[in-house]
Amino acid sequence: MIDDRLRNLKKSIKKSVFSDLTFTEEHKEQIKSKISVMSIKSEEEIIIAVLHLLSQEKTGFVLNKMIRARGIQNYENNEGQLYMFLHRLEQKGYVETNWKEDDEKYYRVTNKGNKLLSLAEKKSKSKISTFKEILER
Amino acid sequence: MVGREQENVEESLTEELLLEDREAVINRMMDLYGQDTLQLVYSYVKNKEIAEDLTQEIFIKCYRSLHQFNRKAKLKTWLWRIAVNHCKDYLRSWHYRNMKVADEQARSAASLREDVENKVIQQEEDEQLASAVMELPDIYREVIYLYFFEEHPLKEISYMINLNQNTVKTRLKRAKELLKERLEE
Repeated sequence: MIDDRLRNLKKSIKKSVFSDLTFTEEHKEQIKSKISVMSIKSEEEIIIAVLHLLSQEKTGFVLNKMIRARGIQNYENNEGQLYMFLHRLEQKGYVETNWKEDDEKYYRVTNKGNKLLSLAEKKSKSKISTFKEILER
Repeated sequence: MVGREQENVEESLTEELLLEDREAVINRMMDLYGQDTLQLVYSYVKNKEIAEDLTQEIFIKCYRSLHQFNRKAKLKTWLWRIAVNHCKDYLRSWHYRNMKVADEQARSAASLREDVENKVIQQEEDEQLASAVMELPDIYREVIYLYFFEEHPLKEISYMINLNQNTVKTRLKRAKELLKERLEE
């Protein structure tokens, strides 16, 4: 009985509740312009920045502050994501970690990471991705 | 037919994703799902201006996290999960709760309901249904909306709202009971 009526829900909500609700071109343009001014960097640029910064060992907290200072906002309010990313780099052997007495985890780039970095910087303009291996989970 | 089209859309979007043209992906997503997103958001916040603002934020959020999309879910399902979370965050926010309190003080608790009801031409049975659904408590309204209005399978709903399937089923059942009571009073 109620199931029968609910079959009309689509029609009824569209006719009434949603009748003056439209996602317009104007809405689209607003979003587009906001996106284009945001300084969101591609994942490749982030990898370069991170490997660069980790040539001297740092905690995740300090690293996060420094990449933000470079205008990379991807991990703003989303630090967990940065740690997951660091974990991935570690598993692939580009970064190593070290626990210090103060109970903090420090990250530092490995030789393998350095090689990747110099390779990446050489062809950072080309579209062929050095980072395919990292990007593909 | 519709299913096939959807698949093609998903395929082509995934290709664009591979090419890392994130702006193109978002533009396509707005074309395809903009209206549905706005409606979904409205079903949570029941206010046109706020729904428009939140929809904007959702697409920006989506753009930011596109690199996390793992292609296990459909792109739309993934977007829905972001949207649902964003709406719930808003409903839990300080801003919303304070606005609501102020609202209630100024206009009495019935104001929100009246907004919805005014839009609805009361007599028609169909529209009574719409208004009854909009008045359901959040947790019941969302499952009714996703299941009957958007016609998603239970499995996808469970992913979108991050609840196990049995809970979704139980809420659907309870929601129907509530609707029945209200409509048959």
